[in-house]
Amino acid sequence: MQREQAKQFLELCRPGHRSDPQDPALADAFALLEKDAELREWWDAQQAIDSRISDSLNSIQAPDSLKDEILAGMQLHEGQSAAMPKEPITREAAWWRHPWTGIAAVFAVLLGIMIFPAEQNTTTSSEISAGSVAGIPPILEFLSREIDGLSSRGFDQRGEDAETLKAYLAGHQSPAPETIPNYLQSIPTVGCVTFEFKEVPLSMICFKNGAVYHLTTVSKSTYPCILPQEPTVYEGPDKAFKIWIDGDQVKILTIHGPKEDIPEFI
Amino acid sequence: MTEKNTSDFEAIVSAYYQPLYRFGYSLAKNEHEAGDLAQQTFFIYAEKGANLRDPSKVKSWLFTTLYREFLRRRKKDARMDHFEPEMLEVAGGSVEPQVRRSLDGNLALEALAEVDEAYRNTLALFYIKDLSYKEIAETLDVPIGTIMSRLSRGKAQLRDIFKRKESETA
Repeated sequence: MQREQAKQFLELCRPGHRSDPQDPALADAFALLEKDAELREWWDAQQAIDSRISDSLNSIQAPDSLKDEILAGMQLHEGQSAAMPKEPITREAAWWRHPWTGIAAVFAVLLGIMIFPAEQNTTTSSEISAGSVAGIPPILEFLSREIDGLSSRGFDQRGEDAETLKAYLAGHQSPAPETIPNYLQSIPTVGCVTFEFKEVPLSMICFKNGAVYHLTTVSKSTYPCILPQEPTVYEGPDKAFKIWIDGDQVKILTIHGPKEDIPEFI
Repeated sequence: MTEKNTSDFEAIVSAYYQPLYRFGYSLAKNEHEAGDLAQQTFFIYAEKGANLRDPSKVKSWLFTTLYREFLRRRKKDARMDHFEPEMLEVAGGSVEPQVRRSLDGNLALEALAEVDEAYRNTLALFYIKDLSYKEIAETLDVPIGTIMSRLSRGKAQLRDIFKRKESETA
């Protein structure tokens, strides 16, 4: 292990923390520390200032009353919950005997046909299917929340060039888009972020030319939701999404606005 | 809540209300919201914590919940009805104008406020010291590799700023 690489691993250790140096992932870095005097000098200096920073931050004390307020609040909540009248216990007919069960089953079958249309989509892969606007999959709800949180979270890497951001993502074991849609190629980027959804890594590159476009990339083999085989558009309360398969990857474009604002890719 | 559950809950509150408050303070930058965030976090834990299958994950779960509650409140309080592209440009690198005097000269908080925003939450969790880098990754829902790069770059910024502030106040 080289010195600079060891520094990256050593930076993961909390100042003065006993168990962090025992982390097997850091063993090589600490082994080098034992042999490299310059590294040791650097490490001691970093730990010293880190301790001062940590001491300063941990000098912030919660108000004396906070703990009591938390416990009192929970007691009050428990008391109110116990005082609420309980629902009367009634005997109900076995669910399969209920007349609405059959009707619900029919609706479920119809709904399944609507969500997974068999062969009604005859449009080309480059066109938005008129019949494929559907309910929001969980991954899009997740992306929507993450996009909303960008302003406070910030980017993992900023940059105005998509190739630079792709290289950053590739260098950080995140899925980097193999191709950028033609429509976005001429638009400057702002930055990129990485996420995990259901333990599947995702990356997002944000483009801006007045309007903002978020291009999410995820490996097709690990896509964590039901994957539409044709490009599909979804519309949420304030955003619209388009999902499509691009080789070994799945791409998701998110815009702020209605589905009509999603550009058609050439 | 049974007597044992009440006792367990009190033990968890005792163990984590201070670090949660500090994290909340680093996010909200005022003691009232920090206390409110901590309180809400424990309330949510009381409601949903029984679903935690692994008791060793309580700590990460609490910090994650507080962080998400903070983001939820910010989203709710946003003045804009829709996402503004300009926010992408102001998200990082500058001291937020709403940083108040309630910081009371805490050098670490003042320095943290001047660090690139992308690194702040990671750094705050790191220096509070309750969470390992793996637990920070879980809390912020980012890959470990991202935490490593944020710590490397963020700490470099923070140390320079902190040393400058130390010398200014010396």
